[in-house]
Amino acid sequence: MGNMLTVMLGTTAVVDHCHPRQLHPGGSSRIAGHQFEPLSILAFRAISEHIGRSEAFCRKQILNGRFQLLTILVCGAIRSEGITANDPFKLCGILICGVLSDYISHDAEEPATDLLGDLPEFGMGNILNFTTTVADHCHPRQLRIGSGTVSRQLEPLSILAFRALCKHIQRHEAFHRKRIANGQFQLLSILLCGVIHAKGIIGNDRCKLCCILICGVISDYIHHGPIDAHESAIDLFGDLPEGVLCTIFSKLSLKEAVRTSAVSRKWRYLWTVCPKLSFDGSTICGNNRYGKQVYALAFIRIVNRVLAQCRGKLFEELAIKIDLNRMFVEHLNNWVRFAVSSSAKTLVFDLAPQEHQLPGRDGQYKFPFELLDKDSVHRLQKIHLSFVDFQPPMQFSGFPNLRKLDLNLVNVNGKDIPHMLSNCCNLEWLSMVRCHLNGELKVNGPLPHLLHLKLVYCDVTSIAFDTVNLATFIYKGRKVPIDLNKSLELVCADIWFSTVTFERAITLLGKVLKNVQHLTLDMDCKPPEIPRLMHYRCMFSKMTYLQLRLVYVEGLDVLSLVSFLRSAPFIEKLELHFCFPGYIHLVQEPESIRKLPECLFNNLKSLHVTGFKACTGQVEFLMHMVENAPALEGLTIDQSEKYLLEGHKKDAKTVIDLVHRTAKKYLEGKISPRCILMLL
Amino acid sequence: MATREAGKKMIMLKSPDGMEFEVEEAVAMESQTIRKMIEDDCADTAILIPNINSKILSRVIEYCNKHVPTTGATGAAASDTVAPAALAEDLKIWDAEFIKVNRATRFNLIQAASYLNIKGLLDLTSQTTIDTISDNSLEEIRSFLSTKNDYLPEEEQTIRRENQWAFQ
Repeated sequence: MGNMLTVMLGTTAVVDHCHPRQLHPGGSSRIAGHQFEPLSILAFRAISEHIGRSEAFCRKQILNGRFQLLTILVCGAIRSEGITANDPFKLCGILICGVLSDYISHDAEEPATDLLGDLPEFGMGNILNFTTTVADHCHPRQLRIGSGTVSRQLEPLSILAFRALCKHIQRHEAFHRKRIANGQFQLLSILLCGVIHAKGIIGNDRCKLCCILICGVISDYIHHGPIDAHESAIDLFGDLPEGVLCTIFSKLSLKEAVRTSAVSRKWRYLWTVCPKLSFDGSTICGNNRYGKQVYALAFIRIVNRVLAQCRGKLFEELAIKIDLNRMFVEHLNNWVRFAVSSSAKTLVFDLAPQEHQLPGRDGQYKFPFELLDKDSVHRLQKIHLSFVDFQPPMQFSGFPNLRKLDLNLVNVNGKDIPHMLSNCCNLEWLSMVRCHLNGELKVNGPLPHLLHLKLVYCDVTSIAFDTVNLATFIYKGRKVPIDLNKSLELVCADIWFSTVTFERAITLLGKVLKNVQHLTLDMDCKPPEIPRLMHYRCMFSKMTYLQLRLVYVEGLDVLSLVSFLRSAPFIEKLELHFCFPGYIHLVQEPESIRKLPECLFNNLKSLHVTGFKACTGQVEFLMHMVENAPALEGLTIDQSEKYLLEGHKKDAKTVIDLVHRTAKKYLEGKISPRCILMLL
Repeated sequence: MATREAGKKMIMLKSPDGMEFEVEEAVAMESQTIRKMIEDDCADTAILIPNINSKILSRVIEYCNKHVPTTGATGAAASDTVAPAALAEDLKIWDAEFIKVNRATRFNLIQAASYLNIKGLLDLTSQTTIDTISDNSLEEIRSFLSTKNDYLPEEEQTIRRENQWAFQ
């Protein structure tokens, strides 16, 4: 109650300032005495605290006849000043009346208060609907001194309104935190005080106090804007569960998220719920106009400032994407420390220089294993490193909860990596691109969760994994022994072998990819020697989808592909992409079409050929497939090349018409009516 | 008690304002929260959905009704009649129409989607907020959120200086 006393002492002073002639009701904030503001806030704080603390107020046990007088004055003021047109104003008037009349009629029996007051969902919006009705009741002449004349209808409603107000005040912190200055606030305060002053009730301190308290409440309301969706939207956003805010912020870029700090006080640090801190040099520093050093310094400053604002918070992910610069080393270490202290589960350091020519690997950032404590080693779930020197220390026993490891252009040691991987027993996704192992990659420890394995240009001499659930395997590089014998679930593979004959590649893959369903095979051998009519045992018995990319060189016998396809008799979908390194004799009018013995592909439904130039081998192959695929539903023949060899431009000279005509001529009458033919 | 009707199990959902909605189990199970209740056998009688009034709940059910066949039956039955791509396109248009609601309703839908754990609906409803924040000026964001700039000019200056890069 200390606050109340303070207010009491201040009242006389305030009222003295509030002479009606000084204060024009229609005026704006400039009229208002500055002394008023702090006092009103004080009063408001006092009343809201009072309301919050003493149930008595809500239950209206207080008995006070003088209150009636005030009601009438206030109602009269509102009426005579003709402010009824303004809705929030009217509402406030009614609320005041409610509070007051509640007091007035306190000695009447408890009306239906509890019934109404306890409705939890009762919102301020509903009160608004009542305003007109109530306002009609608030004519000053109806309200005379003495409780008897007070309209009975007013009672329950007032109580209701009052309760709603109280709840509203208690619920919203914003009320307590709001800033002071506001024009409307001042106007109303002045108005009320002016009225009080003019009516000469100065003698009664209690009354004055009440006025000030009421002014506080009202003005706060007014300051907060009218009560409608406008206001509820604010509260709703604040009420959103943190998870939802997280979702929203995680979909914004860091820049957009940080920008929201300037929206309002409430939003000042809201963005720090964002679970990902992702710094991308190209987006946060803009264009590099001032040279590398300045650019690097700007990046460092930004990252450090943002991290400083986030200190002490927890984050899921820290990502840094910037061209490595010598200056970074110490800062990168600090950022790793930050990731450790903020319990990050994902760490992304993408430091590869953007230039086309890759520099030597000497200047790579050395990954600071020594900064990881035991907890963070256990916590890390995703690591993505690019242009980093990644050398686990001797005793390092892996990341037990690591799900995803993505290494690009990373300097690794062929001995340590297999050992480390053996101990990452929860690994689900492993990708190593251009990480020169220069040796074997034999991972002995079982990786039962590994689903995706990608090894591209890693200079390995052999591959061996114990992965029972592996589903996808991507390999590019030399033909090396591959041991994935336990991976019976391996259904999807994408293989590119350099300089190896077709036959040898297939012999090797037949052993490794026994259960593969979807194979993408890229053959770069020159010339691609397709084994002629070799007898294959059925090797890819589960294969349903084959994508084959072939470099077409002179002497390629396309027809002999059929014998390769025999190893996949249940194929449903076949895509054949030809690439042309130079000018080949295209669109020959085949003199004689060779035929191979019947060999049915009963399941083949879709055949797609690109780079079809209607040369003899292609026509022979096409005819054979069409005649041996009774279930074919879609045949697409595209003369353009889907994949272009590096350094080759699209061949614009092909005579499309001629290609199409040739294709049609040979296919006519051979395609079943159910099959849709598309010539592109 | 959950009832059976033409082989489809029905679930009763109750809003706190006393309205009851009978929906197919598959529709109700679009909500991971309800799915869990059903799987834990907590759904014998009607399920009370707290904090979501009938107006919002009916809209949520409308959404689930529309979205259940595509996620539920991806099999042959659906693809026979309409091509999946056309179906997805149709759904997109429907979603765009569905989300044309006022601000308060949208925020309520976000809350409901979050509580009921319906990912599609949460993504859809929060997308507008995300788009607004990423594409608009601060003034426009404030007006969208119906929030006032309560910073003093000096304070705002400080904040802008502190994170200058984000305001360029």
